[in-house]
Amino acid sequence: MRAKKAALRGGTGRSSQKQGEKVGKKNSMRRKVTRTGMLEKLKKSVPVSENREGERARTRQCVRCGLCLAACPLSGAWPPAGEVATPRGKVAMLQGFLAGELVPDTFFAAEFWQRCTLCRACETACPVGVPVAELVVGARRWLLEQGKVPATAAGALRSLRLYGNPWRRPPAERHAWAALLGLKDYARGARAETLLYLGCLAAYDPRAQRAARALAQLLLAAGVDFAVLGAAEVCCGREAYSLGEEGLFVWLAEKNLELWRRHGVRRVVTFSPHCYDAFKNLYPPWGEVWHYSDFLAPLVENGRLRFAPGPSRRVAYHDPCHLGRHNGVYEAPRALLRQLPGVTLVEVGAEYGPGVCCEAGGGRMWLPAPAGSRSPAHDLLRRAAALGAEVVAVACPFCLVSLDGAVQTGQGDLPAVTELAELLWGALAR
Amino acid sequence: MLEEFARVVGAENVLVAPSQRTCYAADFYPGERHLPAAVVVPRRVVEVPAVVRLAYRYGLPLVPRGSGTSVTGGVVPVRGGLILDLSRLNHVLRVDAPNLYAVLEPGVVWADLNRALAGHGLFTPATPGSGRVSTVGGSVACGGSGMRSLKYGTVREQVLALTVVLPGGEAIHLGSRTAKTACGYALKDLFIGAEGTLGVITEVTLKLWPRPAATVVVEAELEALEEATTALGVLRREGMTPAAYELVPAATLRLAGRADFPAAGLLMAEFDGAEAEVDRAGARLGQLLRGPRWVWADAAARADAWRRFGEIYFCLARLKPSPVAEDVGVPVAEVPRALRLLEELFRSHGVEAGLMSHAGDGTIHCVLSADREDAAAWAQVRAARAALYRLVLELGGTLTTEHGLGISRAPFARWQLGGAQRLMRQIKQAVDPQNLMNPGKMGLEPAAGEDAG
Ligand SMILES: Cc1cc2nc3c(=O)[nH]c(=O)nc-3n(C[C@H](O)[C@H](O)[C@H](O)COP(=O)(O)OP(=O)(O)OC[C@H]3O[C@@H](n4cnc5c(N)ncnc54)[C@H](O)[C@@H]3O)c2cc1C
Ligand code: SF4
Ligand code: SF4
Repeated sequence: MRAKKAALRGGTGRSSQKQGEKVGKKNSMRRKVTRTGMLEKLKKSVPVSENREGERARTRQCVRCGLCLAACPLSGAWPPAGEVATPRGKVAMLQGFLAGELVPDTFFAAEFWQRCTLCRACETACPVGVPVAELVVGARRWLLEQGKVPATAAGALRSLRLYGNPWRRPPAERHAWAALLGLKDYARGARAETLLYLGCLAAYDPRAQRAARALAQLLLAAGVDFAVLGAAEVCCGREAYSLGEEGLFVWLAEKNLELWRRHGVRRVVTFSPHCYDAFKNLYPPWGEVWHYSDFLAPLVENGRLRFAPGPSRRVAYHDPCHLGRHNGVYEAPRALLRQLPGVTLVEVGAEYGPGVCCEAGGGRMWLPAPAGSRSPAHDLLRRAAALGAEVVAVACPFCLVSLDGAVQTGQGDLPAVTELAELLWGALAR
Repeated sequence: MLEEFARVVGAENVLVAPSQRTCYAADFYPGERHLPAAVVVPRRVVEVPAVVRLAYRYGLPLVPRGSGTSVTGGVVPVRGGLILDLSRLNHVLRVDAPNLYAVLEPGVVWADLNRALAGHGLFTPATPGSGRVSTVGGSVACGGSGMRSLKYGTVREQVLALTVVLPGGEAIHLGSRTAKTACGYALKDLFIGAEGTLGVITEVTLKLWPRPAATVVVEAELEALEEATTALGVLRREGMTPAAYELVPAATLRLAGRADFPAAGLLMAEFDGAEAEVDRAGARLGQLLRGPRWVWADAAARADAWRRFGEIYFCLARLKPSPVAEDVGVPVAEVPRALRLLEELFRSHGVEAGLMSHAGDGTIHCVLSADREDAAAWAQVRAARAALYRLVLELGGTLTTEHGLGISRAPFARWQLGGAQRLMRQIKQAVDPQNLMNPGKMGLEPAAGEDAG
């Protein structure tokens, strides 16, 4: 009980206090086992302020070998360069702070907010397993408690609280396009065991909508019995978590769990790897959770989806951080691409490094980089272009929006950016 | 005063915020942490002499720094002052393929250099284990080496010429881009391994080698550690010197989590050269050994074997929060005996330690588990290290084969150097009379560091 309160208190001073009360009241109706499960899971990120010694021990795992130095996509993206912009530097700053030797200054705050996409490339390079991304989240939680939060991020969090999405868009308009497509909608009394959870980008961003529509159509074509939550869907909370607002994350998670329970959902298929990561790794153990690439792969294999011959194209697949490094899903999207007639798969070959991340994850969508910085998204596109890729395929709406934007602002001949679901839908034999 | 530095390198490249300085307080060696007063990050090589001149004018200690992968406290600013972060001076200035050398800025990372050379069919055998991130300047400054020094020599043997900025700011050129030179004192060699205590290396001319046509890796489980040294003797007499020759005793493998390792030790040997040559050498080594052995010829299989091997080091390094790395050396034939004596030494001092040997050159890496915050255990580690140095000197060995002295070995340097230490101090006094270049390192001052005694 004590631990639960502690977890709920994490977050911005006043607003999350309210949050905590709300959750607290609702809590009496909750099954206790769910709550405990949730909090157990949440121990992953420890609010720095509440478990200083534990967090310090995690920073002390770092042996300062420096092997993460070449991994970070943002290290050289804007000045200052050098040690201060590296993952090892972040761990050192945090350790100094937790040991009481360092009072976080403006630079500290800027580095922890802006120079991290939680991509985990550094963790891939780290030989001793320092959980850098979780440490960054812990630092953000502390900064948020202190009110040291960039206005853009604070705005997104406020909107999540008020509207269930980070862009202050009316919930009633959420997934309006899905209704036009005639998808089954739980809110309109439909029943189905499989929920297609679409997420906030697919709800409001036109580019992401196109891809989400393709995914829904693929599922229909494969004869999958599924429904969406339509206007009733709320954010999964992953980006709230990434921005250090754990109280808000718990609140959103409870809303989602409640909806699933109410509608008898047994299986969730997500469009976005970010939602997938939240459901799979941050929510308490719950039913079946699938990213759509993993869900579609067997449908293609057993012939429920077939593809028509298409033009020959060189396609580079970019691994979304929250699908690949966070969840180890590397093969399913590639297997799908290999099924497409005419497609030659190109490996961008970035085990890690500048081309490893689209730059939009980890809350960075609401933490714009300083003006004039070098964009990892451009690095990625240039690398793909150099390998002769005509198309960069992604399986994530964040990557899609970020890389598509980078094509618009980039120079030279850059590959087109498309979503895996769009490619599949376009190639479907009809 | 800092404004003057800002005028040279740009205000955004003089870092003074406490959080920024904190990032530069320590390296792999857990023994000491000190904050610099500021960090200066030059954008161009031409800015370095001006920075050094200013530091000298204001009497500020100056610590040159590459990637900070030193394991000896070499980049820790023990007297405060300035860190000179050279990581942005990372341009490969020229690859001269016909003459087989490359001209490099000091901050070039080994991995980037090798990527640049791949297109020319060339490579640098001196790449250290940390080469994915560490700089050429750092290796030259430490007199380091890679795993392949048995066949190709250490970094020292790869450097043809250097440009060095002396305390006070004057740049001098040492050595020559010719294959050999007899012109004057071997001053180039004085700066190789000087660990930044005599000046700042701002340009390195490095020998290049044609990429070998073929490579094989032999992995073998040994019934006795002596097999490794005996086989090496035969191979060398028959003109089949391995590029790498690595030996790990069973106790270390067990400590690293391979509880079921069935033999006395693990040997990894790499041969490179013409295809027929490496096949013959691989087969010959196979003949010379008795236990199970595998030959990896395919590039992916070789990389995998080395990756598995490399993991052993960090399985040891993560046993406790602040491991200490040692790189003592003994004459090659003594390696098996030394490994046993060292195991016994650490056991008797109550310190958990893993041993990995570049058995071809006599290096024995020791990874000591340690927790810097446990005073009693830390004292034990210190005692074990002192005993370790005494033992290797008795065996005719050396305190360090590649990492240098830094802070961690400084108090013990005189055990090996004896009277030579006085001469080193006189040279330091002559080149850096104010003692501002990376002060407090290498035992150049009496009783440096907390480990004294
Ligand atoms: C995982 C790991 C593996 C390692 N493997 C090896 C190995 O196989 N072989 C090996 O030799 N070492 C190895 N080391 C030690 C270390 O990486 C090397 O000493 C490396 O060469 C240091 O390079 P750096 O750029 O990090 O230098 P830094 O750590 O930044 O500096 C090292 C020293 O050189 C001085 N220095 C740096 N640049 C200059 C310059 N331009 N001018 C003057 N002085 C300078 C510094 O003042 C300091 O004293 C390893 C370390 C780690 C953590
Ligand atoms: S998680 Fe990614 S962005 Fe963040 S520090 Fe690590 S490598 Fe850099
Ligand atoms: S790779 Fe891991 S242990 Fe090494 S410096 Fe980076 S965070 Fe620390």
